[in-house]
Amino acid sequence: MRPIVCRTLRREYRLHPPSDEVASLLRFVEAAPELPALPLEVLDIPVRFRDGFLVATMPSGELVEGTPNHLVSAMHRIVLVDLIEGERHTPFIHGATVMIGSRRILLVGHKGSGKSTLALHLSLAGHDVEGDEHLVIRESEVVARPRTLRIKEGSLRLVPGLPEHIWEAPSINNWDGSVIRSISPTIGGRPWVIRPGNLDAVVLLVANHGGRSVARPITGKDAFGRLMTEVLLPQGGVAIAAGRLRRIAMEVPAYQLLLGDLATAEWHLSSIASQLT
Amino acid sequence: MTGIAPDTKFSSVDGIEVNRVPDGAMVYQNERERVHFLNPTALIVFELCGLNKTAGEIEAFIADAFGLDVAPTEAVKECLTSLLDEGLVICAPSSAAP
Repeated sequence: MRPIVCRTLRREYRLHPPSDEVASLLRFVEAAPELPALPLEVLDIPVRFRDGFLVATMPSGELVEGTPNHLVSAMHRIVLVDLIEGERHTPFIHGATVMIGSRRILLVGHKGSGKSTLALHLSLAGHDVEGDEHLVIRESEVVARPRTLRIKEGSLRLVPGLPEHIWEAPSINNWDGSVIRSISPTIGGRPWVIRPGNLDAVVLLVANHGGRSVARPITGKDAFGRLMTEVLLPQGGVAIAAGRLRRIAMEVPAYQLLLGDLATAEWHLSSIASQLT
Repeated sequence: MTGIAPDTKFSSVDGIEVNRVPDGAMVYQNERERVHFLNPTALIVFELCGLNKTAGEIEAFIADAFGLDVAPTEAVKECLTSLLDEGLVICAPSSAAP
């Protein structure tokens, strides 16, 4: 049985489930982008049955025992800790990173703003989505955190032209009973590749569900204030991290996108990308 | 200056991280877990406070640095008051409290 691969920016975790049924449940955490510029350390995580539950032996030797959902939560914790430990003194902006042509655009928005739904639309339209959770702001480059698009089924139905196999994407049941799908950026037929590089534009999303999408440029000062509400700052070196965020806000063109219909939103993003020098 | 006498001295506070950026500086207070942005002028005032300068000396420095004909009394006072209120600087022990 092929392992479930979950990559971070420095490691490749390989879960080895004991059955196909368990594999289908754990595959929610799978994230296997190509990371050409990043050598990865491979770590195996064997998973076995014990007394009706699963037991996973983590690389640290820690045993995680429980239901598949519990193991999924444990993996989420491990990859986040891995990211934080591997990128000390580094801020992470909560947002989706998309390549529009050769331009890297960061889509930032509060929960429910439609960020992941827009990322899915862009992926289906043939654009390269690098990640849908965090952008790591290093000293002289940025890099997207490898993570799939996590979209509630209710939101999925808002995206036109969905391929049938999207309904086979791994899923979990949320606390409120809703189903969340884990959708690979390869859904649109493009390879999923993450490369460190420059950030070309920041687009701050504001929900305008049911309306038309409208974009306008905003000042760096305005962008900085909004980015500060969507940033994960490190425990140490906060001023340095905040300084990097300030540089991004002041040096990278920023826009506000009232996110309504997806086709117009895509048009605005393409227009923004084409205007960047 | 109301509240802050010209001979009031200031000093910096422990546990403050400063990181310069092109348009000023980011300042982080460990104790309050707050991040501040200082524009270039506020940064000058903040740094002069760290050198135990008096309010009058800071005002004179700013006037000289920017070639001002009129002493920026109110602007400096406002800035010092903000820095004090935010706990980024304190009145030096030998100085009268505002």
